Amino acid sequence: MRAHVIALVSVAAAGLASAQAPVDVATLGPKVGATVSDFTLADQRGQPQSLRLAAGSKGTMLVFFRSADW
Amino acid sequence: MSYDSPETLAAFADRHGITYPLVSDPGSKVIDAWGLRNQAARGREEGIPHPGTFLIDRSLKVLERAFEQAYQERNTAASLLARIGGAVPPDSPTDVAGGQLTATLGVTDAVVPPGGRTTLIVDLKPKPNMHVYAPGQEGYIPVSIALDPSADFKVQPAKFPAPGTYYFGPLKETVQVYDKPVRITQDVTLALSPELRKRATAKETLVITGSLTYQACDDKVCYRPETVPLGWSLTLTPFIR
Repeated sequence: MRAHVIALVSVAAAGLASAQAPVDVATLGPKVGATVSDFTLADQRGQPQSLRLAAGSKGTMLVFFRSADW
Repeated sequence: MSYDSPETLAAFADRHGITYPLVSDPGSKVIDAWGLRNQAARGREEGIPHPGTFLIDRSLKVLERAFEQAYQERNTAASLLARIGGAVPPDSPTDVAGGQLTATLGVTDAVVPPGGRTTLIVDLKPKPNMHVYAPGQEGYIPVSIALDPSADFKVQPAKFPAPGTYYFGPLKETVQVYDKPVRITQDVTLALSPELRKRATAKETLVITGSLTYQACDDKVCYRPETVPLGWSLTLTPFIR
């Protein structure tokens, strides 16, 4: 019984340790009006992609997402 | 862009019929260079960005950016483009008419997933010789849009274009009006409830209702304020994780 209680307390403490204050996402990343650096990286077909290569007449939409794997 | 390998992205693209480029950023180098790493992420999540979208012009200047509070909330591309002033013809337009104006209703995306944010469009057209009053104009009933509240979505404030001015001689007053066709937009973000996700799997229709209230005058008389019912139909589609 005592062992179970200790395990529960440890798990709870670990949870608290990794919790962080919420991030204000408005402060992250390049702001409107900023000029960004380009990159060259492979896409799903192994083709090189960059902001300039992907651009249409109005520019490029770049979506950062968490993962395609899970 | 994500930290996944090209192979993982290829499998994802095949599964969901995606043909546009999915860019591989192994080791999250661009994610870091742009300052977007989620510092709290651990384990397999380490290296993920705070999810968000940038619209970048051909000279690499950022035109618009949108970061949602939760990873499941997603602006649609059309909704973001409409917000930065691109004239996007609305999907599935319908027309409504009032005594002194007509309006064409549309939406930037006819198909939206739970968590998706899309833009409702009201293209207002005063009838000949008529003007309606812009928000903030005192002494008259200004144009307003009210959406009927629903647990299925949350609503952003409607966006109104800059008005023109009208000088009414008999009262010696200058008022802020719309006297030619204007576009009013209002964004809605669909809920992520289990109930809505079930309806999305069944590709059900989501109906959004509301009303437009306005007062119109011509160069001689003012008409009674009117409220016109509005409605939009969206098709739900499953949320892709």
